[in-house]
Amino acid sequence: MQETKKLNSLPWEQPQRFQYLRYAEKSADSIKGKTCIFTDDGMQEFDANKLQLGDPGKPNAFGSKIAVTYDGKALKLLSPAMFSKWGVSTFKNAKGSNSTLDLDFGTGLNLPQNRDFFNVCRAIDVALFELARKERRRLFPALNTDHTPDSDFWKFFKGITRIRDGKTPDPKFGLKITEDSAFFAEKVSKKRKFNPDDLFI
Amino acid sequence: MSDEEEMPMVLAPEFPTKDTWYVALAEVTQLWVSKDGAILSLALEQARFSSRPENYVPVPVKARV
Repeated sequence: MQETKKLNSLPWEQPQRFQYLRYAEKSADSIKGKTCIFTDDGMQEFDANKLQLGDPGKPNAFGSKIAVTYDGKALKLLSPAMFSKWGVSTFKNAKGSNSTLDLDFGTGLNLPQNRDFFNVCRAIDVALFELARKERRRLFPALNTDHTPDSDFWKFFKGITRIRDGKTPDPKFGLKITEDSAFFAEKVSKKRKFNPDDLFI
Repeated sequence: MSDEEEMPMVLAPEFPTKDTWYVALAEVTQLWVSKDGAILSLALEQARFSSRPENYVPVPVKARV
């Protein structure tokens, strides 16, 4: 008898999806030290020229959406082990609830893989900013962009990384939790001395 | 299974809470543009997490960009 397909299963009820993350981590191991991103074809060296911004969607009361793609595909980032002080935060509003996960850029930034990851995110921010700046008329019709200097334009642009005081990175690597987000727990032996590198396989 | 052995991955029975280490696979989804500026959105695809060890001490570091 054929097993009935389970509809609306929870993320942790889909073990096959876990392999995707494992594959990403193994793939990442081979290109440490380079500015790379994760694609469906494995890890690739980051090329700013492959970033693309779509046309602004139909605006609503709050603004409009612009699709971000890399070489015509989704742009994915694999983080090293990063610390989260507060874990998953959920905010309720009239339409429902939004959940976010903020990982800390600052903690562990002395580790090479964390520093590399911050630099990857920074490179993406700079490339996207340059792209948006060049096409400001198309992308930012609501802003008086002709009279907005680049230095101010940057203030309007909230990317992945932010620098505070010109020195320290804003620790927030903010991620939205969606219905498809999957979490996997790992137990760490209490007798073993913990090393964040253990999480970056 | 002894405590020294590497523990296998287990699927999360519940949402992780605070003070946790994560390895995250995130997707850059969109640039949200309004009259106040633009915000880049990232969606979490998968995350592996581990609880914070007792011997962990945060080390303040400077940005190197």
